[in-house]
Amino acid sequence: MKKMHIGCIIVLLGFFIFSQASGQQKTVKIGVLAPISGTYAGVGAHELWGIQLAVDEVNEKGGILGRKIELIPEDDEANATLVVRKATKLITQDNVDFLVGTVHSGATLAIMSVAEKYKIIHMVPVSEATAITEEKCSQYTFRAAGNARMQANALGPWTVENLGKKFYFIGADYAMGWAGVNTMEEVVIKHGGTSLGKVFAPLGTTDFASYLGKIKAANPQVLFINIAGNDALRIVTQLDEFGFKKLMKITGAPAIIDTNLLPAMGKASEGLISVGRYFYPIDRPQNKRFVEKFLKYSKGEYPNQYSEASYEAIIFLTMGAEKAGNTESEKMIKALEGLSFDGPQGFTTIRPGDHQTIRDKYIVEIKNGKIQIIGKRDGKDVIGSNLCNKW
Amino acid sequence: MGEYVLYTLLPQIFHGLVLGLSLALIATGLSLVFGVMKIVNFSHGELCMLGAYVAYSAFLIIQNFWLALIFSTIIIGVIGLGIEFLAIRPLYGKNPMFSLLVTFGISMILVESARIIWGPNPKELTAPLKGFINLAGLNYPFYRLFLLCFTIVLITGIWIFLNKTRYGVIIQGASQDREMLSALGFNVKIVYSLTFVMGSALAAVGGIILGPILAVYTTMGHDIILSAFAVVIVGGMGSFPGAVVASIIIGEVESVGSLWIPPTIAKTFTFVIMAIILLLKPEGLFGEPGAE
Repeated sequence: MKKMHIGCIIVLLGFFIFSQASGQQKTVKIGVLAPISGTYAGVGAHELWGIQLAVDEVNEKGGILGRKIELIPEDDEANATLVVRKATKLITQDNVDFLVGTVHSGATLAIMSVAEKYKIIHMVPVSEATAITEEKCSQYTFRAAGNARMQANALGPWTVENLGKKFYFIGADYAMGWAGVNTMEEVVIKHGGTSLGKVFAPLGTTDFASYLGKIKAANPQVLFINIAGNDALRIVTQLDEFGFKKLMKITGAPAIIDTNLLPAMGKASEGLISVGRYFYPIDRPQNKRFVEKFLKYSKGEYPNQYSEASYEAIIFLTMGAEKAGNTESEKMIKALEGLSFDGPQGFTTIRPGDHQTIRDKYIVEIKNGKIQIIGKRDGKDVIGSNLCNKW
Repeated sequence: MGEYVLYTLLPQIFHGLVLGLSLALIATGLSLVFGVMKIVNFSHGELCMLGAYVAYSAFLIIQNFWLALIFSTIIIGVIGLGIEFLAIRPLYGKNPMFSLLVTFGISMILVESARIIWGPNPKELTAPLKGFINLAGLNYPFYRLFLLCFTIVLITGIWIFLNKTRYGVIIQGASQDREMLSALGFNVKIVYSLTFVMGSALAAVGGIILGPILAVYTTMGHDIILSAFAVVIVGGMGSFPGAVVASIIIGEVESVGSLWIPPTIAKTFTFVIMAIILLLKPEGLFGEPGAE
């Protein structure tokens, strides 16, 4: 009996010493907010795959400053209220060093307020609402993704030149949808196009048929769609169902040609024109390596601009911390500002004035169910002026 | 003015009718289960979703939409039987809140199961009818016309079944006086099981028929069920004609309303109508006064 007690004590002591030892090798904790359920679950999956790939790459090379990265993912359900609770939990209970997230722009803006409150560095991997790096910009927030204005600056002039001058706009009825439509409208008008009208559909709209009459009556040459997720899948399918592709050119934000939606769209996707900073056919050696590795994580699904920017978000954090020498927020801000990375999509630089990454943009068309690059715009020409004036 | 009516208002009214009847397609099963069993089935939308997914998988193998429809409807009917037997049967005669919670839990289980089986990305269920017909200058898809006719035939069929056949009358009997029915020598439990199976099968049919229009994804049940609940409440819980009339009203309000006011507000109107009807006539348009 006594021997057993001694045995127990030795085992416990062993655990104690072991846990102490591993405690000294502290990890760098990154809290990830992504919609794992709900209408954006597909996009959330890409965010997580991109992040996981980057983390595994960094950890293989020894981690950040010799410390391994530990990911703590949370489902934000694309809910701007819930995300505040989850972000706060990641910071106060899990003691994360950095936050990455998220997809829904409203939720991202909510994370920004939490990050600012606790002075934690926050990387935006997907959300495109302009406010994030313009009027609501924050010193602690950096955007690896693009923004709606960059899209518009690239796609707007190109469509006016190549497709027609009369436009109609349809967007999702929330921050991202409005921002995308309004900036595109501005750019189109600036370049000599006219707006025949715009309409906003509630998130989760199942049947777009009742919107189509209005659009048809306006008789535009180009329809611009700024709708994402399953809603985008539905509007594209339904436009095809009603034969709209014979009546007008259909363009939209990158969300309408999401690689996770294209298979479900089938033939309805044919001829869609969009813009984006990243597409898997980009012909660069960095991208070939990235796509090859990514396919293992996604089990055969091609990376899109969400997964690519999520990947870059982690790489930027790693490069920033290496440059700063530690993970302390104030030093990280200085290190990240102006930092460049030659990634899968091209050369990316973080603009110090608003923490928006400067990237090239590609114009693409869907041909035979595949994304084909039909034009390119330089990052410097599409970034626009700095509209953040907080620092 | 005439042109406005012909090219703008009429098509919009027609869209509203199709939208409304597609709602009715979902709401009838919900209404049936409530009317007979007094159970608010929160997993109804998820049964629609599951039906669409099973049909999608079946279609990949047999390459025939109609056979996939029949196959999936049977499978979902069997799943419905399982749910009734395992989860709902033990709760008869207990607080109705229990069955509400149980079906809500089941709905979450079904969504997560679908995500595990089919993955997070949406799937395409190809419409069996292609092309469109020219209606007053608007190219109207054949499939939507089919949906319109199919729903009318299906709902009429169920109505005839419930009112004109012996089995239908037994089911109606169970909804009105279960003690008397069992005193007459009928097994009420079996009647309940069959009703739930029918409700589940109807959900599957709804999900499959709407699949080509809505796309198939894990949370589609959630997206369609809210409006279906509004329909059942406005029409009167358990009332068949009520569900149909309320569906059309709600479809038209959303569709025609969006001509003049922002669509989001038009959609909100559905719930305003619901609130007004609950205030003025709590039992719903066609509900029986005194029914809970």
